Amino acid sequence: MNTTLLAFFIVAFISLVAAWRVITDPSILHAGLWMGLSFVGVAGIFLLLEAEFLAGVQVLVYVGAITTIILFGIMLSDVGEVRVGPEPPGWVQAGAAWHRGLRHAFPLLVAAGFAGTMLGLYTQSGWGQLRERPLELAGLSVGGIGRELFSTFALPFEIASLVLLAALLGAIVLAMREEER
Amino acid sequence: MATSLLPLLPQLLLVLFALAVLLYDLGNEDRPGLGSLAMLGPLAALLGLGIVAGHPGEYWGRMLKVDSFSLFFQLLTYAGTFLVILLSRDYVERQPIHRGEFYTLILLAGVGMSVMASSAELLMIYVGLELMSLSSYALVGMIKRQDQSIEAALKYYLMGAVTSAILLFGISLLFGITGTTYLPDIASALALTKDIQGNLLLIAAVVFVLAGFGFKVSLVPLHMWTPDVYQGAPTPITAFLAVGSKAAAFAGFIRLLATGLPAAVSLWQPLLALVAVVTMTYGNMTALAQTNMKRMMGYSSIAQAGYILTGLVVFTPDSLAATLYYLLAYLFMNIGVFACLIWVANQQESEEIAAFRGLGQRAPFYAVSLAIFFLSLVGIPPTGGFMGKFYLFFAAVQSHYVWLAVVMVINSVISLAYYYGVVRQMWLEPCLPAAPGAAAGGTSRWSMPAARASTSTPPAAASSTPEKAQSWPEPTKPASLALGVAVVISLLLVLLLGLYPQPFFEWVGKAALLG
Amino acid sequence: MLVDWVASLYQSVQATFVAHGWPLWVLAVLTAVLKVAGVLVWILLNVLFLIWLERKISGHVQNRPGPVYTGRFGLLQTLADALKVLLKEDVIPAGADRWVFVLAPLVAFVPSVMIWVVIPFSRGVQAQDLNIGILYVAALASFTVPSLLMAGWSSDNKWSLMGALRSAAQLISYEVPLILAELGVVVLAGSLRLSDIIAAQQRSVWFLFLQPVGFVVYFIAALAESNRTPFDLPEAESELVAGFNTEYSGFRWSIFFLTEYANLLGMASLAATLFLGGWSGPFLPPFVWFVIKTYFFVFLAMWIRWTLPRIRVDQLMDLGWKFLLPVALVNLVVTGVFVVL
Repeated sequence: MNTTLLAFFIVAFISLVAAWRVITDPSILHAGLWMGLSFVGVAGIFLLLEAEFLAGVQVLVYVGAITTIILFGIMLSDVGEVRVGPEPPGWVQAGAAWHRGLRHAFPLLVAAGFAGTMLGLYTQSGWGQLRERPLELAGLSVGGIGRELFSTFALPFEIASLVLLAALLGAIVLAMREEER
Repeated sequence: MATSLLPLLPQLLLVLFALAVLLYDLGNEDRPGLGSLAMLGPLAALLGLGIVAGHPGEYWGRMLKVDSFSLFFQLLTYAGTFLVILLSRDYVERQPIHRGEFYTLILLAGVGMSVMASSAELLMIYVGLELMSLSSYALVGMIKRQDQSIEAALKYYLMGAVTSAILLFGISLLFGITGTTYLPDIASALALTKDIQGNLLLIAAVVFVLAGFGFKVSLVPLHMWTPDVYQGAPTPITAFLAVGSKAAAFAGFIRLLATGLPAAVSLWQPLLALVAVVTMTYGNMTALAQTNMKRMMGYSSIAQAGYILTGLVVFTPDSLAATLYYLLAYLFMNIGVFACLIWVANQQESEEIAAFRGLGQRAPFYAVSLAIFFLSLVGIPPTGGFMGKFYLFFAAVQSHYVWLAVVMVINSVISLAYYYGVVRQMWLEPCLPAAPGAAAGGTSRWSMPAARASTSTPPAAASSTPEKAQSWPEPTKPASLALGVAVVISLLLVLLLGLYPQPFFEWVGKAALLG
Repeated sequence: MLVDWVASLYQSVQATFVAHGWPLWVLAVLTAVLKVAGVLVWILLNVLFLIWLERKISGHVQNRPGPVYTGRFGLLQTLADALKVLLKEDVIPAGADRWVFVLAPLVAFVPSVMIWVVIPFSRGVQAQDLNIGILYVAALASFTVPSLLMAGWSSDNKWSLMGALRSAAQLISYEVPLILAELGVVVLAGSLRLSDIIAAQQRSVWFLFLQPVGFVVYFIAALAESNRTPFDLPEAESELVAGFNTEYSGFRWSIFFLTEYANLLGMASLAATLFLGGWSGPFLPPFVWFVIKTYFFVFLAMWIRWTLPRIRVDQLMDLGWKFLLPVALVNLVVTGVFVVL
């Protein structure tokens, strides 16, 4: 096993565990922090793929902006602990424990099932068998990404700015305090 | 001129007007003519479309495609956007809605729809879908004082976010298999392979992508959001979701299946056939039990999605043309229904089916129009809906999908029942004594919370907003001109599509070639 | 001289590794550890000096001598303080969210060290010349906000929480103009790589002269980013006890303190690199130039801190969103147009 593969497994394991904790952690703030860790892990995977620019943007946007906003939102709202599913009946202690176990295991099972299926699919069919020509991977450098964004992908790039405008506008309108006019 | 701005003209004009509305609305005071300015947007885009029609081809590094298919759906989008703004003009005056943002978001959603329609590149289709979706999520929750509206927005947003992630996952799988996101390239790559059925990765990709679009057009396993969102959203937005969103999603759907995945037809055809049957049956059966008009239209819209999908299942040039024809008629009949619904809701302060009682006596024009739109939705001559359904039916029978056609007919008969329920209320039930809202002073969900809190006081006194309160629910206010215009336009086109279909047939026939 | 010596040493060690057939990744790990250790030592030494400098400057600004007893000119004062702090009891409040409380200082400190990976100290003296240089720095800076929020939330103290929220709002508001100002430089240099930016300045002039507006925006935003007066609202002593780190004591508190000065130093050295040509300069060795330029900015920041009063929250937000952001945007657009023409 070479070092890159080892690093990949470590990083992937961290982000998977973190993602699992996002849904199972009863404290919503902890869930937000786990999410940040998961994002960092994804940035690490980008780094391993030698997509430094994407890794940087991933951290900047997902940790710097999204995690922060979510933590901020949690602190400004009055939510301490979230409960997943109905309360277990109080008279069965074992039942409660079983319920807790199930609560933690269920997302894991679903995710594992999905991951297993997808892994099976990935290994079953050869990737890119149908490709007419091999992919050009030159575009991963910063300059390459910049050139592509402003030539081939200029139009979707610009429309993405409209998407952001619509999201911003919608968020402001929905979050705005209603003043009695 | 690969990067000319000219082929983008309609979208650019729409964006321009969206920004103009946003900037004009700056500040606190009420701006006169805001709605008219917003209405100019789609009109200008239609004009721009006329210019662009002379320049077919692919632009911007194959990102933008101008062909008769994209022109058709762009026309549908702009007409839909125009009519929805027309419906909104009256509505936003009576509801606590921020008008500037409301119109801007409608226009931006229109841009997203037209982007979806005018590209054969999955990336563009996805970005357009996101623009449309994000705008719609916010639009659905625009009446912040109503819990229903917020609930609808939240549901729509959460489910929509998940399904667009699924769609994106499917697109990434397609990219992984074929190495491109450009649909004709995907098609030629898939054409090379022999064992389509055995390529499990491709099956997963197709299922994911279908799920993404299926959510937007509310096909059955992914329909759960539809009734709640249709009921909770501001009524013009319900109409927008029913016609604009659905048409644009079908545009992407058709483009994807016909241009990108024709080689995989054996994969998606049986799946979609099953989905189509379940969708229309489920939609019609559930609609029977509804008492709320908007909710009923939600289930009706699920059923209609099933009908439209049959055109894709049959997958011949004829059936695709029939799909387009049906979508065209669907636009006008739905807008018409919602215009009547808004009118009645303005009068009765209720969106229940019971509010239509005695409409035949009170407002014969709206009652007759609504009846005609319902006839069209069921598929009874001489309406556009009939021609569309007949065309679909015909195409299905021709390519030996007789069983599908039979299911369609049975379903149409079922749907007659719930539409008839409303018609019966309009003519066979006695007229309501007086608008209940006027006397009770805002016990209904149509009033502001301030008024709702004290049921005994009339809204004018309870509300601390003098100038708003004056224009606030005034059930006796004469029908707004805009609503009448919308009804008349829809009525004319529904009848035109039903009585004189020939030129439209030729048009959709050309558009369905996706050339 | 020194650089060449290190380079030759590295080559001979590498040759030894190859000769003995030892795995090369051991060497890679070793060099990485050495680099990190070097950076840590550099930061610690500098912070010791910076704290002394701050007290001296504050003293002289306020017309008093500052520390004088410990060592010559009081130079050993910080060392004594550090020893005192380390010997103090490490308190974790009873209501604290233990793990988050413990992790917060680390999340704050590690990125402030990692920034130094890309800072060029001298010609060729740079731990790693990443091609995403500035983006890397910006990305690391984005860890600061979560760390403060973690600290503020986990302390279970309203002052801490308020301080954390204030500081998060402030950091978010000023990160945008900061990055936009940096982008002006990037557009001029045509690269995110810090060595390329210095090379571009060697070809023309210091970017301070080409980007005066960008420089001012950068400097103001950097002051705000490092929570220094007039932007020290997060730890406004008179209002919030001590802000987000109220409940911290002993070693954990000293890590926050260390981070603050490490960030100040990082911002100053980045400013020197982006706007004053980094290590380049005549006569003196490059490393000396780097230190002089960095300390010029450090001195400026301290001078401002002890001269200006603290601004109000609303003024802070107005300045960030209504003044710096538009100015930075216009600056970027003008720069872009200028470069294209």
